[in-house]
Amino acid sequence: MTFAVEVQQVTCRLGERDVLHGVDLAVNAGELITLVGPSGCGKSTLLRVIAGLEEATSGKIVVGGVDVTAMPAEKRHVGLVFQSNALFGHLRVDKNIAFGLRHLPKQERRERVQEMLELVKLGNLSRRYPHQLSGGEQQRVALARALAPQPPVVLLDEPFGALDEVLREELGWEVKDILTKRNTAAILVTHDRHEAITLGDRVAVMQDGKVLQCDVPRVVYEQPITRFVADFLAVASYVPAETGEQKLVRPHQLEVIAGGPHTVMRVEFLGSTHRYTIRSHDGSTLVADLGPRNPLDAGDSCDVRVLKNS
Amino acid sequence: MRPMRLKLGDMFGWATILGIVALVASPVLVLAWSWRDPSGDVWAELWRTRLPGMISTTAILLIAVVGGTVVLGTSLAWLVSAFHFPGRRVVGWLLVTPLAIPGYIGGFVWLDTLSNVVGARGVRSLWLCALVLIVSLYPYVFLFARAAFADQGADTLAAARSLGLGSWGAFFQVSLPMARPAIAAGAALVAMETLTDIGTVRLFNVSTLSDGVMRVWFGTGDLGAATELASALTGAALLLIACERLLRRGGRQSRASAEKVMSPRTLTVFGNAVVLSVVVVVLTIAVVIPVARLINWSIESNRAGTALTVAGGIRHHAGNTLMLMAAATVTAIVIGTILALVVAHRGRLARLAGRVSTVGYAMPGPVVAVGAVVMLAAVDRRDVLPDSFLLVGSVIGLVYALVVRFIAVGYQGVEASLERVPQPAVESARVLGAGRMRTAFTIEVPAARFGILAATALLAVDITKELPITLLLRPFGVDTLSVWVWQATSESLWAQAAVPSLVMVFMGMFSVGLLLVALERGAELVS
Repeated sequence: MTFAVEVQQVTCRLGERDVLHGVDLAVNAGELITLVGPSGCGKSTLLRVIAGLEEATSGKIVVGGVDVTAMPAEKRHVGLVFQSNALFGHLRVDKNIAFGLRHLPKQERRERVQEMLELVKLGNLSRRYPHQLSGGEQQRVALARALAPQPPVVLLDEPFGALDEVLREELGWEVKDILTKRNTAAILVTHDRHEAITLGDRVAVMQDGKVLQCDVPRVVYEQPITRFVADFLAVASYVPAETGEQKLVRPHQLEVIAGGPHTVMRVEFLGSTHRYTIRSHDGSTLVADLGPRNPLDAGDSCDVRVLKNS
Repeated sequence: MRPMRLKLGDMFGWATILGIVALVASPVLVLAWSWRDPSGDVWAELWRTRLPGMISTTAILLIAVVGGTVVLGTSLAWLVSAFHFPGRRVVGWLLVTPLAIPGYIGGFVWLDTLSNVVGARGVRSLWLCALVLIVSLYPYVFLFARAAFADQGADTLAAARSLGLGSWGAFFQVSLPMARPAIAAGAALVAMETLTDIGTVRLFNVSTLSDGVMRVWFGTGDLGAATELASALTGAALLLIACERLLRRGGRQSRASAEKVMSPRTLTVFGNAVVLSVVVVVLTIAVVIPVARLINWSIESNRAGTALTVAGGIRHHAGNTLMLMAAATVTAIVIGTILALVVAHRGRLARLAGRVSTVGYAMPGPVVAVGAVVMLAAVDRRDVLPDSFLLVGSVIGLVYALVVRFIAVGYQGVEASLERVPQPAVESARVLGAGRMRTAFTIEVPAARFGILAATALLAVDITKELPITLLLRPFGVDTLSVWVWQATSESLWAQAAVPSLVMVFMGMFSVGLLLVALERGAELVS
């Protein structure tokens, strides 16, 4: 089967710095991959290389079955959504969306713009200018504009980064729905780990210009291949396993009992749960999320147990 | 390792850059060539007699004018940015209008007005000349400083105040240092204009280097000697550019986009009175009295029937001025825009090449004129043009020299406004299938339109009042308003210069109005 986009052994050197070292990534049609990693790990550069805004130093990029490695950005047929400032300020919303549709006859172009406006629920704002829209509306227009030419893949570079949290969550799900509906593949760069795990069909974790792991959220969350991936995605504790190695446990996998060899260092109220930060007798730190029952306070002694089948 | 690909688009872009740069920089670069074969006698003679005096006079005038414009322009900009007083918006516009009145027009009005007070001899002094230049050139500093103050975030100032600085302290320790690069840029323009001025200094009998070039050319007709003197002038200009670079170092701090702009403080009644009287005094000296006297002279000479003693009359001159201004302005803005578009996204080397194209602006008018003549004559000698058409002494030659001199105004203005076009928008256009050309013309140029308009207006202002190049290179029979003013004032026929001066001032006011509209709309677009 062909992938919507396939990145093979791509390296990229910007100035004096190697930003990407041999990245491999393949996205199926209709699949949403979230791309996370610390700042400067190369996630935005990877998108720019796929889009053709930076040149790959070596490697191969295939979009919709076509090798685009040597093509300029305007020939690659990918969609791209930036965090902000990407709309054409001097053009109305409908003209913004129609920008990539020059190849279509007029009637068809008009219909496509209308279809896109309805898809992102902005049908009544087509004659506004970008500065007359809210931040969320602007990002919907940007998405509609990127999807209008029906590219096999849309690249989203922290598209919700400039929005407040409530709107971010809401728009995130909406974007996922829209992409699924259009059967369009997407790579979504985010610095929000929660967003990465919840929105992605698969999550790709990058560090130092490499994709360390790319898998469905549950696998990446529970079976991270390196300690970096484990710590980066969510709070992690390590307990000795029977094999003598360290075993990863997430906060929901631990139970805390009053009295024992460890000490509660801090209790945080998280709404539906309490988060306990515990100093174990051997000096390591454990984190557990528990319901509001059996309340312990900072300074109390306690014991922990790893829950089975969780 | 992938082999280097030769891209047609890239080669075309570089060819464009190099072509434009070669065309506009060559007249200045050929002057360097003249040093090959120095005419030692003239040079030695000059050095023995007048050159040291010229250099010191030029230096004193420069220091006085630059110092004066920086103080005046910056304080006025601070007043309109930091305080709220009645008519603040209108005052902000009015304070730019002196741009429309060239020093040599304000100069002869004040020369005549003051000679009744100080006496005909005492009036022709370096200090009065400096004063006239200060009131006609301060708007450059004012415009740059005001833009810089508007760019400073309210939070920065609030932080300074909260750390215990009073409003004066905040001005001297925060606002002024932050605006320094912009003020230096404005001051550099003033310095170039002063170094280049020939009309005003001639009125006040101040022998500067530029004046020297003109006198050697007209007096001895020795192009070689004029060229060498011009090179000395070039040295001075380069020194100034170096100073400016130094002052601009540590350049761009810009406010975070979310931060609010400085909000002006309301003044007391007494404060209002002080601010408004300062403004009234400046405008009276710079605009009201010159325009009133010009009108008065025009009416008088019209009544006496002595106004139209110049061949061709006012229509002929105004028409020529308009035609030259339009031709040179349009050419300069078109070439400048193309250059800025091609240079953008092409990296350091391209920017450097672009900068070379602006050397003409750093060169005084007479120098550019000499360089252009050397270049054009070289082409003429080859006899490549049909019907033994000669570029020297043609309108094309004159427009070419004007473009060489002023292209920097177009190029740098467009470049600065292109830089403010959000990069994500440009890249989105590329990804949506638009090539470099389509992106440039459908996204970048429209987004930068007010910046381009402002640059066009500034070009029109500068070219309308330009004197030395027009004077030296105009074809026979193509006299402009500025030439008429020059000729009448060199014979102290003030009243005869009044009508063309007035027409020039009105043309200038129109361009200044356009400039103000462009700047205001552009600022709205950004915020």
